[in-house]
Amino acid sequence: MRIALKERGDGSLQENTNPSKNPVWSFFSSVRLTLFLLIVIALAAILGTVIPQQDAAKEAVQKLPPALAGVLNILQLNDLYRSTWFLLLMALLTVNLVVCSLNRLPASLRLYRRQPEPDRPGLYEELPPERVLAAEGNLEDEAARMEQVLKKALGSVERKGTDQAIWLSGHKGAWSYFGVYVIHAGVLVIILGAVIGSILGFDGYVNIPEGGSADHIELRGGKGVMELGFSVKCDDFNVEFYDSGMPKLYRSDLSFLKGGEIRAKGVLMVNHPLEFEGIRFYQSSYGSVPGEVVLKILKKGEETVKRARQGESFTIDGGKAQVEILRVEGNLMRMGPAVKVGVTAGDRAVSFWVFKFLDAIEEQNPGITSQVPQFNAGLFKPFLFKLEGIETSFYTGLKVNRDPGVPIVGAGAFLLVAGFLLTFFSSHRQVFVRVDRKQGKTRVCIAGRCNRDPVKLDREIERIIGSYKGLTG
Amino acid sequence: MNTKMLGWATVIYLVAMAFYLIRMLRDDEYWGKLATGTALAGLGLHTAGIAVRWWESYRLGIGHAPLANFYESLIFFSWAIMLLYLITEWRIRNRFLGPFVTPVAFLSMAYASLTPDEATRIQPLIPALQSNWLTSHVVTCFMGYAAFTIAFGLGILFFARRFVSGTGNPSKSRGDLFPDEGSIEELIYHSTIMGFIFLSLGIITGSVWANFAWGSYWSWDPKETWSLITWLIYAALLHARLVRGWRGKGIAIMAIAGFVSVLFTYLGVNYLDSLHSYIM
Repeated sequence: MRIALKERGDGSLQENTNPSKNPVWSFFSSVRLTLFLLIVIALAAILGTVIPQQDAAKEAVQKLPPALAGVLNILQLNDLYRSTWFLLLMALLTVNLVVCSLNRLPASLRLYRRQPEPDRPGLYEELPPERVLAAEGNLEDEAARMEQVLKKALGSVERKGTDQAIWLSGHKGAWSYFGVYVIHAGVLVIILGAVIGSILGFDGYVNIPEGGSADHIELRGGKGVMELGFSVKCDDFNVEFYDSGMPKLYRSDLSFLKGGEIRAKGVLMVNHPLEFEGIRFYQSSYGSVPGEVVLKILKKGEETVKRARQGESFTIDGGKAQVEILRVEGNLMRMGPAVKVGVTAGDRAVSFWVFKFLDAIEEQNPGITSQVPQFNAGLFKPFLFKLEGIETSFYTGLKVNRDPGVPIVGAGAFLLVAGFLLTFFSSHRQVFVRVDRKQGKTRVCIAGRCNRDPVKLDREIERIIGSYKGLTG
Repeated sequence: MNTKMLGWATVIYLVAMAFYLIRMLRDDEYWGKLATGTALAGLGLHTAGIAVRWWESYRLGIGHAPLANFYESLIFFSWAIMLLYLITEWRIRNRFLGPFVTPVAFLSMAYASLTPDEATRIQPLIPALQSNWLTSHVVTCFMGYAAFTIAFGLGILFFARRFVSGTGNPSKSRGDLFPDEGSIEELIYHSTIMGFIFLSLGIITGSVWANFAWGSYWSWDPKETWSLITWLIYAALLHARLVRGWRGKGIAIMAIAGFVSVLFTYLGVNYLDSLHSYIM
């Protein structure tokens, strides 16, 4: 059987030229396919960075003509990295990687196991003069001396001899033939981890107001809601800024409760996630929402203070009138904080805005409250509403996930790096020595072969010659 | 203080670049030695500038490696290019590559010096950057970029040589000026391997960090995606050479294309909506 792999001076492995009988196998064992897939996946990935993806796509699509939006939708270009065709390309590359590696493995094994053949013809021809040494001793002594040197440099030495000549050979780093398989295994393990993570894991978000708690999360990509099986309470949220206005710290103090009982507490910060029952929480965002509205209600010198949130109601006038907070605005029409209230009492119903800075507004627009009844905080007579303030409350935005694929991906990355070291920083270096007699003198010829890194081989041989000369001298 | 030192390093690099050019045009190793000496002096001052900046950040009580904003990244990119270039020059014992690599290092420094004063100030770290992974991630990525810059310089040199000698054959008259195509391409290959390993480490360290900071080791962020695109291009180059036996022109073209992708990963992505945008 012919060895399909050609050993080259620089150690590269040329493609297997043996056509396989199975057309499917030979299709997937082609490195042309690999190059094609690498480039096509790169081009597709570029497309995905130019076309808005996922959530950003929803807004962008509305501005497009419907026909174009339809095309984007059919080709799944708005969720390209999770689209069927992109995953198919990745799957093809994976199969290609497996088939190519399996196809080449036997040849690498043959190279690994190959006998050294230090007496093969041609090996000692065209050696530079410094690799041909003249020695004083007899054949047997010089060979023994060289064997000692080789053993020290390369570990083990094989010996072959006749009356005229003795051949020695040793080698180092034969396992470097397998570096490329370790790299490919690393890539496959990473892909495996990603697949496991996407099947068994989940990924979502939840916003929790300060003091509030949540027992379910919103899954990413509109996949619905997931119950956590416990609840997370945000005891406190803090954001700190540097003098320059840049954010310094985002911090959520969280409690994890089960059956109304606190099971764990922790501080969540960016770069410092928390884990509870295998689910990880990450500080992802924060925001503020209008909290309680503080209203002062006056009636002939009598005043009551009421607090309520948007959508909540309270009663005044001894329970005869009901007030509902309809809207809360932090800055309505650039006139500052305002609250829209609806008041119902029997068959009488009015709604109007209560501005915080009503006095200033009236000063600038005299008579506005009489012209625009909606802006008249005294519309529900005889009561006069005053907005004392709108409290803001923070919420913390958490990313919540579980990804059982992470350790597998980590192992794959480790293999990848180990494979690089094996492939690019080690080489199979073989040293062949022939000791014979020429013109009545003993002659020692040293030759070397390597699969890559000839400089390292040359240094190795120089060292061997050096210690050999040291022994004779 | 540190910005002044870095400013002077920029000027010195410009001078070194000129010396390398003169050496090439006049084919005189006197200018070559001058160029190397100048480049070394520039790198020394550059290193000192980065060290001083680092030290000053600690004096301000916000101590962190100077790798935290766009200005600092340009400075480090240039530093990595000069370091790798001088190592390469020493290893191959030839200065032919100088005129093709030093301009990139100089341009990166010059671009940094155009940064408005506000942005050159040492700033404290925002929460997302407060991580032990910052230094290892940025260093590995930019060492990768720098190695790819060397490969790019060699790719340009490959075609410059063809232009000068007119043929693909080794030039007789200017034999010393440029090495033969085989050697250039071999060097492209070695620089690419170096860059590929560093880029892989950069992506891995970035993934570990992202897994802590963003809760996902990979989220198809434009910067992540472009680093993958760059990785795929260089993976294609290595496979084309090792398995398909490509040599010469094809490899040189891929080294140049790969560098365009590197530049887009570094600079272009800032124009896309990216989680990495704080770097700009």
